[in-house]
Amino acid sequence: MIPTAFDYERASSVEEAVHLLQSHKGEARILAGGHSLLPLMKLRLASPAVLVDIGGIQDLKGIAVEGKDLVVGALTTHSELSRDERVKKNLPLLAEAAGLIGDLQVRNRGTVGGNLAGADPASDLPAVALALEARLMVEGPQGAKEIPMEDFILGPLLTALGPDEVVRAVRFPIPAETWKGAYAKFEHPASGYAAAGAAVVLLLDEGGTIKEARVAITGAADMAYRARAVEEALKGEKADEEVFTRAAEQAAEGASFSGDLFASGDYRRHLAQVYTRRALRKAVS
Amino acid sequence: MQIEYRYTFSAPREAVWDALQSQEVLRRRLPGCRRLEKVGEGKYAADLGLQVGPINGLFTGEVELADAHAPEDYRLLLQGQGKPGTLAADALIRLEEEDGKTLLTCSAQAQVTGVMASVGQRVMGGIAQLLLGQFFKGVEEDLQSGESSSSG
Repeated sequence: MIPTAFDYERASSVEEAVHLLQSHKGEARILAGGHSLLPLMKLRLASPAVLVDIGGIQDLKGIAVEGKDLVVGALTTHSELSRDERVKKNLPLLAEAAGLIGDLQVRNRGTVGGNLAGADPASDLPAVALALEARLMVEGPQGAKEIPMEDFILGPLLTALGPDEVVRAVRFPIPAETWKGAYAKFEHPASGYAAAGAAVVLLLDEGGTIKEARVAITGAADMAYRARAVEEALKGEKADEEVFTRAAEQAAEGASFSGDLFASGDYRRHLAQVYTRRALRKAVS
Repeated sequence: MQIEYRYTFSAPREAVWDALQSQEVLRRRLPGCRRLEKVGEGKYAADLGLQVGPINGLFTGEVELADAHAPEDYRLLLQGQGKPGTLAADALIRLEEEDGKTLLTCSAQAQVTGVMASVGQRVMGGIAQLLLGQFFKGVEEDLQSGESSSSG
C-alpha cells in the first residue's frame, strides 16, 4: 500500500535533527533504516506528518571500543554489527544475534538505534541489549543523557525516548571477568521475528561457578524483559545441564503473555522456557 | 483475543464505581477520547484517537455500560470503526472491596479486524493492556484529586 502524504526533512547533524523534531511538536518521526517505520506507514497504521531523515549524519555511524565499553553508533546496520571484528571479539553474542535478525535486506538497511527505539516486542536486539546491560546515549533539547536499556523499554512499541530526542549511540559494557554468553531464538518462518528469543550472559569464577547471571527474553511476551527468577536460580550454582533445566523453568515468571494468529500465550510461555535452556546450554558449549 | 487485567484503586468501592460510571470521567480518561456524547441510557457515541508509539488511528463508535449491579459489576461494551480496521470489545468489570481499597478485575473478549488484525495482532494484546492501564490510572488520578464527584 501507499503511505499517507508526509513531509520530508533531512538533518545533517544530531542537533539539527533535535531542532526539527522540536519544531514539528510530536508530529515528526525519525527515519533511519526505515525497516520498522515504513512498513507501518505503508499499512497506514502509522501516519506521521513529517519524517526527519538522519541517514546522512556521519556522527551516528561507526563502532569503537572506548575504555570498558563497546560503543555502537545508532546508524550501524545489523550487517555491520554482525561482521565487525571488534564486536565478534568482545561481545560475540551481539554479533551472533545481529546476524539472525530478519533477512539479508533487513540486516543491510535496519539500524541498531532504530531497532531499539522501535521497541518491537518480537525484535532480537532488545534481549541482547538487556542481557548486556546496554545504555542508550540520547540527545535532546536539554542536552545528552544516558538511559539504561531496562528503563528504556516501557511497553510494546513504547520507549522512554521523548518525541524530540534522538538515539546517538548504544554503549555495551564488556564484562571484565570470565564470562560466556549466547542468544538462541525460535523465529517466525516468514518474518524472521523471534516467536521467542533468549539472551544469556554468565559471569563465572575460576571454578566454573556462576557468580552472576543475566537472562533476557524477547518475542514471547508483550515486551522484552529480564528473567530475574532464572538469574536468581543460576546464581552461585555450577554451570551444568541440571541447573540450567531447573532455572529455565522460571523463564516465564513476571511477564505477560498473549496469543496471536501464530502462537498461543501458553505456547509462547513454553517457548520462553525452552529457548532460555538452549541459550544457557549454547553459552557454555 | 482474551484480555485479563487487574488494577487496585486506593479508594472505596462506591467511589470507584461512581467514577467509572461518570460520563465526565470517561470523557477525560478513555485513552485518546476526543468526543463522548450521550445517546441513550448508559450509551455514548465516541471518537477515540489512539496513539501507541508510531501507530495511530482514529476510531468512531459506541461505548456502552450495561448490566450494572452497583457497586459490584457491569459490562463495558466498545465498538469502533477506523481506518486501520474495526474493533469490538465486551468486558466484564468486577469490583471487590479489600481494606478500604478496591480490586478491579477486567475480563474482556476483543475482536479486531482489518490491517490491525493481520499485522498488528502480535502487539495488540500488549497494547490493550497498556490502554487499560492508562484508563484505570487516569480514573485513579481523578479519584485522588476529587474531580470524579463533580458530575455524574
